[in-house]
Amino acid sequence: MSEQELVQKCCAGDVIAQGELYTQYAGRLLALCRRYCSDPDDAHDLMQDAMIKAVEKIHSFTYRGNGSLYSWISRIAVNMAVSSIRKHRFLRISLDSTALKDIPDPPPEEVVDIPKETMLEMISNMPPVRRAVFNMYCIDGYSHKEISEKLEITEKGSASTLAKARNSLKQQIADYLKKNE
Amino acid sequence: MKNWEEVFKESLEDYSSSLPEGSLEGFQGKLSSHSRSLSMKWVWWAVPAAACVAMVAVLLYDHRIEESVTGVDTIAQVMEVPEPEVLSPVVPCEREAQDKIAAIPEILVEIPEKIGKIREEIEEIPEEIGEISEEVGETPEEILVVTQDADPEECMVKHEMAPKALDKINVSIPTTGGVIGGVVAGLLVSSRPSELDNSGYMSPSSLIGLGDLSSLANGKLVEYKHFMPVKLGLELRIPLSDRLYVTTGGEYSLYRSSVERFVTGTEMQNVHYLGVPLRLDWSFLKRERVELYTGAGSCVDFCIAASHGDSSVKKDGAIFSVVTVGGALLKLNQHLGLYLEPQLSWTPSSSCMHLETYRTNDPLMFTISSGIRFTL
Repeated sequence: MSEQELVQKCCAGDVIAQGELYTQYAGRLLALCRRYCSDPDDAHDLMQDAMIKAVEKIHSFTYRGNGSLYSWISRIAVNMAVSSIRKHRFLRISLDSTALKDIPDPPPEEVVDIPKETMLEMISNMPPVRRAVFNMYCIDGYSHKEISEKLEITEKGSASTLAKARNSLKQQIADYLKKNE
Repeated sequence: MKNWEEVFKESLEDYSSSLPEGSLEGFQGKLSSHSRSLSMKWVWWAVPAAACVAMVAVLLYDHRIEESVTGVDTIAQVMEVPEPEVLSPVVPCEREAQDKIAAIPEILVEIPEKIGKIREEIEEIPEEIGEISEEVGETPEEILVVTQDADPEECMVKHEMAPKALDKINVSIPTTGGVIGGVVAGLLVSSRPSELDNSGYMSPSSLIGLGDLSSLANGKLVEYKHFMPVKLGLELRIPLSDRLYVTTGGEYSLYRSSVERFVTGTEMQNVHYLGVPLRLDWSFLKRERVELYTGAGSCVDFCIAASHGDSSVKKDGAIFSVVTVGGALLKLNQHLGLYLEPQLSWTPSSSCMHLETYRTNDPLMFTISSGIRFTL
């Protein structure tokens, strides 16, 4: 079933089409949600909530080519994840001296060999705001301006948080590589 | 050459995690229950809307500018004015006082007539004294005390006693007139409650025995007219969830009343409060620039200043009230906004409330608050 057909049937309320939509995109969406959540169960709940919201608002989707449906659904998931992080950002304060150190970049050829599940774990180990800024900027392609609007922080704050996130990940990568030499 | 961040991006952007068992069934179950709740979603919009409409209806029905007439005792406890001495203090009754006020002109006309009669009586006294002295001076022996069935011998005994009683009394006429006039004046004074003002003038109300009106004539309260208070706030809103917030901060209130006194005229009473609200708010409509919300909580008001005209008066203590609101927030940016907030509050009576204000007459009070709100 093509994306357009899928969308049309979901708009018509076809339960099978909705199940098909879930089957096609839930896995990728779960990986995305795991990048934004520290807990796997929270990530699964977030993924299902995002899929439900996508089915509800499927009427507002405009097909723009192959892959546009997943981009649209992933935007919904990212917005929901960021909204949750924004509300609770004052409940936790990060005291991390590693983030301020100047750590050398790990060699890319060694980073390629790191398992994806380990990469997800490294990202989810970071504090919520740092995690969100890194995901949004480095992986999902948001600008600092967009990040600052969604997280309700300043652009300078977004840039400094990204620097801390990079340092934190570099330290984790270095520790992993050292452990697996 | 790629850096480590690009490696992360390429590895993870299309990565698909394995779904746990029963994930699809769980999703379909959630979807069907969510569809049912969506069909009742209009209820969650209608409930706050109906609550707002009901609140406005109650407020429109119940809202009025309060007018009250209080007794003398109220201002006597509050005003820093020394109370005048009253010979015969009388607690006034409003209707009796008004009847007596209406009777003043008639009584004022009668006073000169009464004074004229008293003068005539005083003028007759010397003549009577003269008659008495003539009788005493002629034949004291002839004055007999005779009873109808008296024994002649007893009469003779009384007659013998008579000369003692009938000894000539040497009293001058001016002295006698002065004594009798003083007695008469004393009787008049003691029979009327007199009250003199600073100039020594005996007020007409005191001549007719109106102790209550004379106390009113010393500046005691007659009537209040209360105006809706003005409220301005600087508030902080702490999010608990996507739509639930805790609101606190500071709120300045000005309670103004027009105080009409019996003699001195109209003065303005100004009472200033600084309040600390604590509320739980729920946003039922959120848009980019505007947010509508409703909430409930409490507020404690501390009186910071109070005055009647130019003079300060005793301030209220801390006043506690229960508040419910329904308002609109205009967002200036992510954190700052301007709010306009109709409030319905209930203030239980308290010993800390000394002043007569908009809220003392009716514990259930409608006000409108506005100000600046900072959202974390």
